[in-house]
Amino acid sequence: MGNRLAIRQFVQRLLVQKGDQRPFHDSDSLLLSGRLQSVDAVEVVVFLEEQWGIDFAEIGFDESLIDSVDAIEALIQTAGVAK
Amino acid sequence: MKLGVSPKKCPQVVSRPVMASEVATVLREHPAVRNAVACSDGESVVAFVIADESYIDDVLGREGAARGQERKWRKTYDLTQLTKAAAASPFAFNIAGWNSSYTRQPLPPEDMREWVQTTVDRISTLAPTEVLELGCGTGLLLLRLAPACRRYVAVDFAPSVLTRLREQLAQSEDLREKVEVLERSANNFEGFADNSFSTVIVNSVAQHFPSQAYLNRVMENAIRVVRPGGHVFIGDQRNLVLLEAYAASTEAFQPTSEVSVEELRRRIHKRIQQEQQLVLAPTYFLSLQQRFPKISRVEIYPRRGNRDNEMTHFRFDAILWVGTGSGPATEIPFLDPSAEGWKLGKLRPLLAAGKSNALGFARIRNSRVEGDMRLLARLASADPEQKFSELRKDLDQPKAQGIHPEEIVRLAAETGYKVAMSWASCYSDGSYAAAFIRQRSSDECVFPSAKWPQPAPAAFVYYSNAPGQTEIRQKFVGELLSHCRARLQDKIVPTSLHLVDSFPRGSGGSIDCNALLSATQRSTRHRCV
Repeated sequence: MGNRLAIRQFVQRLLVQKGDQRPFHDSDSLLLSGRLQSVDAVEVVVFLEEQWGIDFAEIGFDESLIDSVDAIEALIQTAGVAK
Repeated sequence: MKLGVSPKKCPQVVSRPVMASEVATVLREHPAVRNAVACSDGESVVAFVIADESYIDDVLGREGAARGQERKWRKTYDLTQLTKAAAASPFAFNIAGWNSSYTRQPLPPEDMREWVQTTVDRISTLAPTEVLELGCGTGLLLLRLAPACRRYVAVDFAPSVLTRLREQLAQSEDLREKVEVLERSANNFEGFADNSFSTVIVNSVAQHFPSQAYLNRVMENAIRVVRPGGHVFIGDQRNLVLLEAYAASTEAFQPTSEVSVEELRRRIHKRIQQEQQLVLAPTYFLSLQQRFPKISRVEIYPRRGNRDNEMTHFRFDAILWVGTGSGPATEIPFLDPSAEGWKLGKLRPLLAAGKSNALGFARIRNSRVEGDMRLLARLASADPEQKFSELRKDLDQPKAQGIHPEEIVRLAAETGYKVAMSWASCYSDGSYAAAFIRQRSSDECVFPSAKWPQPAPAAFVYYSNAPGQTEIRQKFVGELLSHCRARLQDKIVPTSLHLVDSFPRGSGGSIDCNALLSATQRSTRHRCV
């Protein structure tokens, strides 16, 4: 499964859990727009740590890094650990 | 097998008190029910249950869910300290992670400075000497309070947060010697002896506790480790009485130009249902005095501050006085307002006349939240199809009729009184009471003690929301109703069953069914079951 699809599926699951069935584009803001909350950001972070070994203690954290599917995919590529 | 009266032997009409009594008896047979009562609302029987919290934790799995929730919060706070903002924070003012619920952006530093200072001021008046702070974070309070203390034990569960705190402590030899930093959860009191602290501080932390049961354990231990004459300070606590106003205020702030009234109502309801934090009623803390004889006094103060933000509007500080020492509460005559409410212009001459040594004012309309109350009232009565933008035009008109709490403080200073303001009366519109006691130079008491107007009985039905427990509690209610169906005639099986925190009593000491019914009808907006 490609990175983008895996990310989309994960984000979609988070949104559905919150009762948010609205469609989303890969560029749509998720955290800064309020569709996801800071505790949901934790879910995304754990997902990235487990799936791609991203170490936020090393690269630092900012919500904008994981604010959209596009941003998350770019982060994976920047970290140089894309599967 | 049904244990109730069989239909053949049952008279056609069973009196409602008999039905209610039978329902309550059957419910009390369930191992997870600590107490039960059933009331008739005229049409049907409604049951109310106080659950055995250990059953919900162990059998229904809340304990496991709570551990998962705690891990999430720990990670959330750890992440805040991996940001550039945290790394660039000045000494003793690391506010990374303090974001507004309205904008989701960092709260203005001016708001946070006031928040820190007003909190430190309030705690300092308790004259703490040996402090246990649960959830110390990056040391916003510690770094200001510890210099005047003999011993300060700081507890937090987030390792990155404590790393930042230790970096700051390393800059002060004095603090390094008297401050002990422990990485542990707030409910871990291992190694803390009875009566070993003057003050326990739980500031802006309890909202991250997974349940009221968890908070109960923390409070029980906090009271145990505080010596007589000391205090438990629970600060910056979100107020359940104002949860709906908070939800409405934050939702209405979002872009809503094309949103209908019905859609906005739905969003407010959803925000309340999905609330992830523990939100407490002031009555939770008032009830602790009945459970713990060591507590001699409980005060519920609205937050101090001139800045407009969610902390000053919707949160309170609770202080528990442990043992004797606070002195008897002053019997203050509390005046009720006329229909148009209190105005500063009315209060000033009453105080300036100087005839009273002590004077109280009940139900002072709170200008901080009256706009939110107006919003709720308009949403309740508006046409569901109407665009919210049309309603907003009316709401934006400044119609402040209430009094800002800080204006009360200034009025007291001008007229030579000390003043305390209280939310202990739990007025549902966020109004507060104020007690003015004449200033005497010989009087050292900085916390005037008054017998505040009592909350309505319905305010004691719920002590908190139940964040993240909707599924567990719905399952539990289903289990209890099945238990009833298996043992009662169909016609007396409760039509609804509510899990509540206490049974309010009427003046004669009997359970107040009207209070239970009215509280649970209101709470359908913020409690599922």
